[in-house]
Amino acid sequence: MSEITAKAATILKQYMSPILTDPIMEAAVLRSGVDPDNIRMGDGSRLVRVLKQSCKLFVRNSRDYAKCCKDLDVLLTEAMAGSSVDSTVVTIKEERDIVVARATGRDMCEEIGFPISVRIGVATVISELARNIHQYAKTGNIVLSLMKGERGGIEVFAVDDGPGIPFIEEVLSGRYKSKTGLGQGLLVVKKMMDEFEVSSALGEGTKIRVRKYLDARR
Amino acid sequence: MLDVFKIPIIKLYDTLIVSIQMALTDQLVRQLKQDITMEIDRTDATGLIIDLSGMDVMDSYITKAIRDIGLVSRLMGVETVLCSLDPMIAITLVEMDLSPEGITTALNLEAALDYLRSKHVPGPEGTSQNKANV
Ligand SMILES: Nc1ncnc2c1ncn2[C@@H]1O[C@H](COP(=O)(O)OP(=O)(O)OP(=O)(O)O)[C@@H](O)[C@H]1O
Ligand SMILES: [Mg+2]
Repeated sequence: MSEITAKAATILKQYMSPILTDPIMEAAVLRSGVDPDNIRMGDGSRLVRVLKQSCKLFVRNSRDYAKCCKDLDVLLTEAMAGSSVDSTVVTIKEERDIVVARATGRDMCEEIGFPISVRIGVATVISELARNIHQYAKTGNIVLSLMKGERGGIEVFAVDDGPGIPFIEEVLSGRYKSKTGLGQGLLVVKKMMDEFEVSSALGEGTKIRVRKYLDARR
Repeated sequence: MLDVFKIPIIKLYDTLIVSIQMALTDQLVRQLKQDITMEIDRTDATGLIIDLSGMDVMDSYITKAIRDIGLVSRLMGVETVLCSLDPMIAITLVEMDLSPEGITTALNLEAALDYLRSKHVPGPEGTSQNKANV
């Protein structure tokens, strides 16, 4: 068991029968799809969220439940502060990877403290970028990084070696007429994020880097 | 597993109800479009309700898929109502200019049913009179 799961189990033991904590932990690990030996960005908040749901029935009373949730949140914040890794790569190979990418990004946004509306917006942005990779370049990577310095936020970097977008100017000015979709994807991405950078040329693949800052909430 | 999975379509009087509870893939969208057209054809439904309470995001792809389903249904004389969209997702949709235009939305399933009922007053045989002029 990893450090975070061991610590979470210790917290649970204070609020419920110790016989129950292990099965609840195991079930939460399974349900959240987190690998306890390899906790990645976004995993912590997902695990804690599932744990909170599953221990609700077993904690003695609602006051204890509130305390238990608070302890788990503190644990999460500490784990976050101590983690040196602050980015994760989701490789887009098949359609379902799009869902993985946006769910991971959404959880990372939660960890760093974005309000729910921004989390959904960023998840949508990731979905657009990942789908473009899947549709037009077949494979590529979505790199998600938390920016923790002076200006906190999240960066989404989408890279592929596909055909590139020679008509990128048209796309971004809204003049491009898409044959495959609404032709809205990249416009949405640009609108939603605070910073937008793209480099793409025929045959050179596409790199799109976007950022959303905590202090620029809309 | 993915290949055999289908989104169920429930018929309630003159209305078809679809509740999307998972991330939509190309395969699912294609299947759903086909199933809905077949059900409309088979059942003489006059309304289609798509419950979106299970959506995690509505990106341009999903929006287009749902709009397409609405358009195909309209061509077949069936009005589509979307319901139970998470408020935060609704805000994001509007903020990003992604709202599926031309499709009615309702707060929840009851409101969607009420709306469709108000539009299609049942005729003597229990079928809709309005169907022909949609
Ligand atoms: N990663 C990429 N590699 C190559 N071409 C791309 C890539 N991303 C986008 N494109 C091209 O840019 C165009 C515009 O992309 P955008 O995401 O804005 O709209 P769309 O994908 O056509 O439609 P929508 O996203 O609304 O479903 C696409 O039609 C495609 O031709
Ligand atoms: Mg796109």
